[in-house]
Amino acid sequence: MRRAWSDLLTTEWGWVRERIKRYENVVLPKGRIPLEDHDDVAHDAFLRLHTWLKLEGSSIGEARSIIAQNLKWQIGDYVDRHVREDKRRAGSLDEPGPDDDGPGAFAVRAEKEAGGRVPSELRAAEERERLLRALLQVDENKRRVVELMIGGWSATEVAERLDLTRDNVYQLNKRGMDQLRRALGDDL
Amino acid sequence: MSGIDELYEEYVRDWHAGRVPDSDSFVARAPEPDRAELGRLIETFLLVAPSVEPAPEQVEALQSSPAFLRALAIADAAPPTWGARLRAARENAGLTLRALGARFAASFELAGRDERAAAMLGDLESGALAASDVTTRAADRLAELLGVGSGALRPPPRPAPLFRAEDSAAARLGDLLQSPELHAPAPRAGGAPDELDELLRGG
Repeated sequence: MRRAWSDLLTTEWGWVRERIKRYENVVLPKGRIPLEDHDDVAHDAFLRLHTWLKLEGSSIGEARSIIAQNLKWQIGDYVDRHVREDKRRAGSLDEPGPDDDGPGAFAVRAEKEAGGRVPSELRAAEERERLLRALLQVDENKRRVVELMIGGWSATEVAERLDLTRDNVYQLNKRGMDQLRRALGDDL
Repeated sequence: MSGIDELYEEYVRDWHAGRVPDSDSFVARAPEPDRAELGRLIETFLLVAPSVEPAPEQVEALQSSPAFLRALAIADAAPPTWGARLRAARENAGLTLRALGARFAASFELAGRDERAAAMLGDLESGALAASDVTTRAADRLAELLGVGSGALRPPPRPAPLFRAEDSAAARLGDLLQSPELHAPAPRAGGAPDELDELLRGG
């Protein structure tokens, strides 16, 4: 387990840190999670993941989608704690503190958002299907460009492959990424 | 060609090379009016970014990062307690304690016991109530309500009774003194144990 955990962390730690870095929410100072908290949020997301993996007996290979879900919850908890602390500082004494007993902030939010339940089976196949569904919402001419660029092709290579100019490639990519972003809206 | 197109392309190229590029520094390189747009492009890419093998220099940098080493040590930590597993299962099912308490009580047709069930489940999560007293019937029902395998929440065995002196007696006595049973709330005030007590506290 330790070896597999180490491999998983080595592969995904940077991705998690980058996701935290880019997370935006107006309730946070300057709209971002402060740099000094990035490590703690990443650590707690992996801690939550570790408990979940043991609970479900999931294989490490299925973990990416589960990491993403745990990261989303962890960031959500972070934001909730921040908002509560802010309200307490502003004098709303009836607002429970972050350490008050009761359900975790995540659970409250999840119940509100998901009508009491979110899928407990998070599997890589579902994740792929979800991404595929999102990509299918991108117009076809833009989708080819977006897919190739995400896959690491250079704009020059994409232009040659699809018989476009580089400027066209960049334009289509930006518009396609906007559509993809809207299609993935819940994950932001 | 605008600057952000090149920067995005470079970011994605670095990503595929396993260098885990620092998005903040890429955004900082963009002209001020375009920074938000580049940030959004990168954020969208990260939602679908493939897992890649980190480059050797990246692995080296990670292995000297205290935060990474702390996360690595998670694997060496003691296995989660039953209460922690219950909480994790509940959170992963997206249920509040109150909602789980209500479903648990309803599943045993215990009308009007929602809040008490929620409180007792909260005590089990925190360790204030002993997991070893939870009946198999209750544990299996919780597993069913939370959508996890029935074995996932099978309660731990009760501590063995101390019948005779043995080498480990002192240690076991120490364990018993630390056990949640001794610190558990008093039995329900104003009445004999009810069905909830039987299910979650072994009667």
